[in-house]
Amino acid sequence: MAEALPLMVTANRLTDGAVVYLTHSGDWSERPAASSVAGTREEHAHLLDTARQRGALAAVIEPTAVPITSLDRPQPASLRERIRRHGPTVRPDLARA
Amino acid sequence: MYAYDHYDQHMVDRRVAEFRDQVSRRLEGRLSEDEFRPLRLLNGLYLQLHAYMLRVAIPYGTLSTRQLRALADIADRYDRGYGHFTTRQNLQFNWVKLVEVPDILAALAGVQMHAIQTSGNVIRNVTADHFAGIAANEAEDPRFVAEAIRQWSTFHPEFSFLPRKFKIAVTGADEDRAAIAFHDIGIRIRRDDAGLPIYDIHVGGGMGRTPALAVLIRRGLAEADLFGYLAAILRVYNRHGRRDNIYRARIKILVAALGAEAFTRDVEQEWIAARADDQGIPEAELARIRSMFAGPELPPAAVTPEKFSAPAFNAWIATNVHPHRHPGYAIVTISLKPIGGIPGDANSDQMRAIAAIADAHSRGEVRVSHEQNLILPYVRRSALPEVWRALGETGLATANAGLVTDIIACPGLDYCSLANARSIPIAQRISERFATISQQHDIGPMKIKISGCINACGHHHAGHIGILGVDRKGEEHYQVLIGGSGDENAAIGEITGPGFSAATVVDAVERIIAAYLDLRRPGETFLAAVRRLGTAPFKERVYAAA
Ligand code: SF4
Repeated sequence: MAEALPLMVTANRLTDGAVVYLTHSGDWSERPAASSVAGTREEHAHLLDTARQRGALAAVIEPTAVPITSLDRPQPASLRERIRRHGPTVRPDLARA
Repeated sequence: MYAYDHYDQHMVDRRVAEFRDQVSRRLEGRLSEDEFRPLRLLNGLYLQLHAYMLRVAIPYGTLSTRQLRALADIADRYDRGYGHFTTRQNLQFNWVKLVEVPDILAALAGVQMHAIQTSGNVIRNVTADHFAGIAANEAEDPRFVAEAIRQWSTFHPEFSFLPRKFKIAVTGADEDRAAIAFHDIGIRIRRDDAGLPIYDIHVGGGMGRTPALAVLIRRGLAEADLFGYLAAILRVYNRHGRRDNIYRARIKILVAALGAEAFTRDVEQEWIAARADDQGIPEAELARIRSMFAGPELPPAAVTPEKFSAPAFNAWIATNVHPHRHPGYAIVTISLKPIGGIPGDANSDQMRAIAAIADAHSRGEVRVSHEQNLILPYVRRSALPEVWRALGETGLATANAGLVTDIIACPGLDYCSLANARSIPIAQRISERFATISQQHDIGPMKIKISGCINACGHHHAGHIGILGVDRKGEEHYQVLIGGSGDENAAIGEITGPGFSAATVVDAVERIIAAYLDLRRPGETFLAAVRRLGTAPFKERVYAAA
């Protein structure tokens, strides 16, 4: 199903389950950055192609495209994804930077 | 307490080695995630929002202090220093790493624990009354039956691929603290006129999308017939259960579809037909298991507590200390619901402190209740002041068991990948709203239960006030239910009407409670008032100010 744009691709790392974001260089980063954002369908396809070529998909589970609020800020749009990004809201001591 | 024999230990050790191999094959890419997922779920390993989550089985909620310390060590070494006690009397670690899970399972096996039967379409970890063996009016310690079911059902080839997960609860008391009416099978042990244990079998209860109360299909089953009868129920379910639709697959749907009478007839036919071949569990084996639940010898103890005048202590005695079957002893509930805290969470320091207190004062045993609290089962009444002081030192002496701030809440959207909305912050805000002890005592017995989605892990259907998180156009939204109960007079709560936003749901709860305080007769509990008046006057008040 086509996700709303702009978007990022997120997943959980296979070895430890950590939340990660796909970058255009085909790496997984623990923090979403400008280099994680796909503003167009083509950019999304490019993200996934690079990841496939670099074998990056094998390093994660449940890769999913998630909408973000704006092109400039790679902040997930949904509450669920914001909680995944920052950690449980009830444990600020465990928050992810 | 039950102690593993050679077979138990061998099975658990073998499972650890098997999973270690599966994990390394997964990491090497020789197993795909599709192949690996069912294997990890067989070992209680889920993927949640932030990380993997390992659900550790605590059979019938009984823990030795050695086991509790091992859980604390695992929390420190492999997780983030805490664990979450669940409504299934289990413990969840929220931050485990796949690469370390085999070591965690090995550490668990070292103290006779595992994560088997905590996931998947199998007979799940059997739950029991948390006052088992210590309640004053009990026919039999239900843990012996729960343990026998655990052994009988673990890796049972016929029951390893059921249409859906299957939950069994057992109680041996008149007061139902195990919520048997909300289980796929609920077993109540009684005694017949000759004093022999007999079993009432309730089938088809559950929560979730289609809540149902179990129906009594067999009264007074003899012990020798128990396992044959359970097998017959499971066979009928295996044969007719809806494997085509996950929402229609639980046994409650089958019982409703066939009708209780036809379902019972099928079970009885199956039972009688298989009786000659299926002898159940040998009597000697049952006797062996039973003997392990005899409980410790308790020397006589003074019946009255030490005089102690601190009001906070007396408030704690009033709610968190319960009568024991042995005079001179008490059952202590350790509330894991500090005001504004996270229901069911305990950090490793607290686990170790509880283990030390249980070693000194409770025969080295701790229980987990489905209400997400811990229990000290064997405390001398004269030691209560000392126990209270020691608990207070690690923030564990909250005097609220059974009161409005003793809230059940599932992990919800803060952790759970299936959630629609957060549960914990709602519990925290309600707890803070009703923080004053005198106000809590004035309100009296009150069970608030919160689930973050329709799966109902927070038992919202059984709450005197239940709260269900739903997703309304991407926003957290909450339905409110009233009049549910999980005890011997079980009832499913009724939805009040339109739901509430996260900002207004706590006010709605407060209005329901205010209505009760206005409408109650002297001495009448909230639940009794709802039963007398119906839900209408409460609904009226909830929406009047909205
Ligand atoms: S009720 Fe839903 S949100 Fe809560 S723990 Fe269960 S599955 Fe997760």
